[in-house]
Amino acid sequence: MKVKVKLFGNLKIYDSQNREEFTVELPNKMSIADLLKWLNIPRNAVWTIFVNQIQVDDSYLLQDKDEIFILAPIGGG
Amino acid sequence: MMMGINGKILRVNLSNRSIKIETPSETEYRTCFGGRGFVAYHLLKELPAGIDPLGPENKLIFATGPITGAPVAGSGRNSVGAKSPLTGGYGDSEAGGFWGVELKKAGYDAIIIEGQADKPVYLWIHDGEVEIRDASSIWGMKTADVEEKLKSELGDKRIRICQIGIAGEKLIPYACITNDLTHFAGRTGLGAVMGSKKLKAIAVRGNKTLEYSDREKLSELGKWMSKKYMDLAGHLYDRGTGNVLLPLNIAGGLPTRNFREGVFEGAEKISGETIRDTILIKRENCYACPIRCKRVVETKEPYKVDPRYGGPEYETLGSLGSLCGIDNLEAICKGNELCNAYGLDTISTGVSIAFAMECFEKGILTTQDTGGMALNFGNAEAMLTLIEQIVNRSGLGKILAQGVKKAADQIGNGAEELAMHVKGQEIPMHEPRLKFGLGLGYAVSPTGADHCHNIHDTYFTNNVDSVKPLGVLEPMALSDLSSKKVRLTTYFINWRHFGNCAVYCYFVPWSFQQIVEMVEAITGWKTSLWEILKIGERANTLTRAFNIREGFTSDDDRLKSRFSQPLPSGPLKGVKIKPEDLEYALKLYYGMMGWDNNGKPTLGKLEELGIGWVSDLW
Repeated sequence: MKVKVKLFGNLKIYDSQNREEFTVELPNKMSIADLLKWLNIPRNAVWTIFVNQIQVDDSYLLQDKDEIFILAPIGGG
Repeated sequence: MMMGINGKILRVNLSNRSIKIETPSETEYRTCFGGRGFVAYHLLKELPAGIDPLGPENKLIFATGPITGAPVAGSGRNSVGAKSPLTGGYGDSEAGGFWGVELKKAGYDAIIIEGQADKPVYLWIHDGEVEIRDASSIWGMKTADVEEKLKSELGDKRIRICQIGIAGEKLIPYACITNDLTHFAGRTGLGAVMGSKKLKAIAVRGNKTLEYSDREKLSELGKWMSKKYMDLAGHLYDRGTGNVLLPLNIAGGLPTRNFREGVFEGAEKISGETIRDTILIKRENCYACPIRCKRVVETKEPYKVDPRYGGPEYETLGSLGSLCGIDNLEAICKGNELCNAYGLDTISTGVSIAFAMECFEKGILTTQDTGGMALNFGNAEAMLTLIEQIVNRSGLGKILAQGVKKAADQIGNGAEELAMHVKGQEIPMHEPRLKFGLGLGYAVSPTGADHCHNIHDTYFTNNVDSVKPLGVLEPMALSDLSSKKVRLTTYFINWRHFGNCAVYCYFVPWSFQQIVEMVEAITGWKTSLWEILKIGERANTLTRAFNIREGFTSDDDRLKSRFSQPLPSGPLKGVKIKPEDLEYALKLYYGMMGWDNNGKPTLGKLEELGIGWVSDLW
């Protein structure tokens, strides 16, 4: 399956190509927790995750064409 | 002997034009440190209760801290404080840039301004020399023109200038003080205090090299951050402070249409990403900082901006953008330019305009009040017109120029419920229904609603490694207002108060341990996290004491009823802060601070902090 990933905050440092938005082809039956490992993003660097604009937990099973927003903690401005 | 400071402060009385140099004791430096601690100590000691914030009895204090000017990232900041004309209580704001560093290089750690001049003046401080000079030729000028004229008049482009704009001259209670043209002590209306003293600007220049106890250690820290900053804060370089706008919107916590909603359909158009990809022409920095989070933008007519005024920060994108329902990025940039040129705080300005828009949509204000203007959310032209009206105190701007609390009192008819403030200060662009700890922090902030000396709960939902040295070992939910969250919030607020005493920038992610090492390397003291956290707690308590003396009570530590109503849509649909939960948290906060049930510091706490003398003041 193919999913679209967008990384917020400074999470793009974990992508080898330093991308903030990309499409990735994944094996079936991957959860959010699996995806984070796949992307080498430490769980404790992440605040929360939205899939198709709905907040999900780490056990959510990804579907083809999902749009995944991975958010880092958000401070002041 | 303490290092990293000059050990000298200036006291300038503009009524009788006297200039004195004072030498605070090392005990004062060690207990108040600088910045906010110094400001709070002197305001409490020197101001009688009940004075007019815009009268000659008020004092305006500019204070650096021991970290200001040190050769490490984040050290380009200074505090400014006075009794606030916006809240009637303790007023204080911090700004970055270069001005505070230059003041230290000119030989002074702080300036206390007293009295009022009978005609416009500016101060010229250079290598220890101080002159009070005529400012009649720059009074009424926009800030960028003042910057150029003073540099030309004094014949040195390296001069650093802090100044007020026309808003400060006109005593608008949310006028700001501008450092180096694009950095702002924005909050609590200190520009109006400066205007009331007819003090247009303070120009500084110095060549002094400060001595530090351990330059090698400072160099090591500086090099470490220079290597690590892109990993730790690369998002601030890349997208500026506007980087937070889109994720806040995704999470349902982007202040939208006067805090009525938490999701803005136009967020993509006004995001840090869009700025970067469309109008960004340059990134700028503060003293010694590699991050370069400041933006310079280029826009086209009809919203062409003067790049000297920089581009909008997140707070401005929110307050003039989503909060007003406006998705026109170039119009927001224009609003930012106008506020910066006139010296208006963009947060208070935007909240005031959003308040008026909601009043209009509810029929509390009509076209008769707006001069025929359709003041609906989303009307960018109306937003720009109102900025002009506010600074000129014309049309509806005459009412809005008072700040939302007084404006709502004057308008009546239910407007009070729509005025988003705490203690009279307009609420920044962080939704308390997303971050409950921050909501508590808004309620108890000595300066009214503030996001800087506050907690941002999202950092602690999964990972508390950064706060383990405080003994906080377990993550906690955003909506947690239990004793665990109150404990973390209490510690964090005090820590942030220390940061405002030091004075350093929160965007540079130094750890607790690194700050302790930095303080030791600067001052030569042997110190600890415990001692410097106590400095923050002491400053927080001094500001509280100031407000208690001015008649503030626990009743002022409240959030507006809007935040106890559920958000209507988005990921946070249905989320609200129950008043009884906030009340419980408030009482716990008082207890953890050593304050009684009415929020008054107990004698035991005052004595523990070494400020028992405060109890004689009430």
